[in-house]
Amino acid sequence: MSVDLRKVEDFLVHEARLLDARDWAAWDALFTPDGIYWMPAAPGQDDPLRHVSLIYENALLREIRIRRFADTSAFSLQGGPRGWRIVANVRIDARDAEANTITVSSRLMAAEYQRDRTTRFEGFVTHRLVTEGDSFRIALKRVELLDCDAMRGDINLYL
Amino acid sequence: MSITTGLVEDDRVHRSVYTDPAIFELEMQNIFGATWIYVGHESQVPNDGDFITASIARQPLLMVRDKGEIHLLYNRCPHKGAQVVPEGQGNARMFRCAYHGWIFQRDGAVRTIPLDDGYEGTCIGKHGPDASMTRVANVASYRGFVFACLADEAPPFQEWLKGVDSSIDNMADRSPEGELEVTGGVLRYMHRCNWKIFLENLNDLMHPMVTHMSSSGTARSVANRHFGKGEKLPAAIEILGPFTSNYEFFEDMGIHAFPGGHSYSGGTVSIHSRYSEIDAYNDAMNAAYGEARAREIFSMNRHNTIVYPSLTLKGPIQTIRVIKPIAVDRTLVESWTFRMKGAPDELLERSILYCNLINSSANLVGPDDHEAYQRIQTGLMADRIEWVNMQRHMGKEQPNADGGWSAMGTSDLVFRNQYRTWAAYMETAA
Repeated sequence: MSVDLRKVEDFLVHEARLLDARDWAAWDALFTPDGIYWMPAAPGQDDPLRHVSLIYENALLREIRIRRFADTSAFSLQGGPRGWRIVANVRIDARDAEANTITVSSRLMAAEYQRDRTTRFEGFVTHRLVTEGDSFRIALKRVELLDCDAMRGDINLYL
Repeated sequence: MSITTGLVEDDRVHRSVYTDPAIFELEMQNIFGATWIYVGHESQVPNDGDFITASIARQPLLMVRDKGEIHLLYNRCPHKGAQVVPEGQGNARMFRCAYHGWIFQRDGAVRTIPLDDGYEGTCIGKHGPDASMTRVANVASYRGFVFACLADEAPPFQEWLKGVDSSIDNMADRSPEGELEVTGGVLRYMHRCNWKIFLENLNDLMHPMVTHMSSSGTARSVANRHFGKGEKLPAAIEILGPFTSNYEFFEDMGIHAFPGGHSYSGGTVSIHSRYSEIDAYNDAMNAAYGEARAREIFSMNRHNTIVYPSLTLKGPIQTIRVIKPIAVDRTLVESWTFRMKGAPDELLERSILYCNLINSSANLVGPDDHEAYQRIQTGLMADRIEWVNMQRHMGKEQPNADGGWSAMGTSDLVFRNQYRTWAAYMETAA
């Protein structure tokens, strides 16, 4: 299986820009039906079921969160958090030709702004991508914040 | 006469109890420094030499097991004052200060001082009275939950815990072996509010259907799109849905308050009582206790229990939230999960899922609570309106069999009771 790194980079930037644009539905459509978005609460955490996470969401939970983004009674979202993401240091770490997947690592810098407060994030990101024709679907996106085990305030957006 | 005299009345409190930094400092002394505060669970230090760092009222502590016994020490070198053990946990044969190399045994007794003949005849020489790490004056444990009182004189522990000891019992009894074990990490959520605002919310049963409509209500409508009537729902929906039960449900849950400021809501029914049965767990419980006793344990289903002022617990889902006041408008809330010994892993996985969905700082439920707390902290800056009202269902409470009072779920009874206790602590000369 030959996958061009440039194509992978394009895909990750495309994904980040959908999030920047708050186009949640288009972003969610990038996932496979059983795709997972995961933000662990401990560095190196490998168990999402028996250890707490900041976020561990399947399609159903993402649907709830995404519908809530448009809900005017979501009080903590009033004043509209907005954010941007920079994706860098993209590498293809592993290829599984049989499963038609690649594992991609990258570094993320992001910020969330709401009501006079900016919160900055740095993270190690792993994508497990299923190749689909000329593009990819996300089977797993794992965002391990540099300070994932620190005490922290709210995170309102997907990073 | 104290700076808090006149700030608490039977049915209202002055806004300054939430906003005045001087009152906050006095709380650290007269409440967090004077009564029983939760420090950790025995299962966090199962073996000799195991230790965790802890804190009460911002003071650094070290909980360590030695020869089977739990010791609680001030995490402060008796020499120049450095914290002896950095934040975290581990296992140690002894503790060595990073500054001048003083070495202490696990029970805090000094073992080695470099060039100790230079201290001969002083109070911190090897045999001096002040050369060892200082022990916290009072430590007590109930079903593995370790509490400490920094003051020399502590309230009688069992009597202090009365009324809510049954919540801890029920949480532990839900283990087929009667024992709990901390596992699954911790979520540390910093809140921009006074600690009392967080605490009051836990048994405020008038807020969930408003504050949590965007999460719980949305979860219900999404579930309706995907699942038919009577179809088994995913655990996440079972957890999120009941937050937007109607007013009657929360009213009927009931609320109970006790001397010492303690309380719980729910009794036989709560937002946790309609989770799916797990057959292997029921079998293990029946085998351990017999069916009648197992049914009795499950028939108690409480919502939030507050062991005033520092520990809050949810027995039916095996989680606790620990309150750590940092400043007048900053409160750290630590959320921990427990494995019930002898229970299938599915139960732990449900507790973990609950914490992810409700207690994480990136979840859909807690941030809307946090938003309300921040708005209270901001709203209370309006100094023309001095008092916060606590009159709902006043006078309708009835004495209960455990020495406290009971009322319908939406009563302000719990708040009035917390402030009666608060005022008694604060008026006591330190």
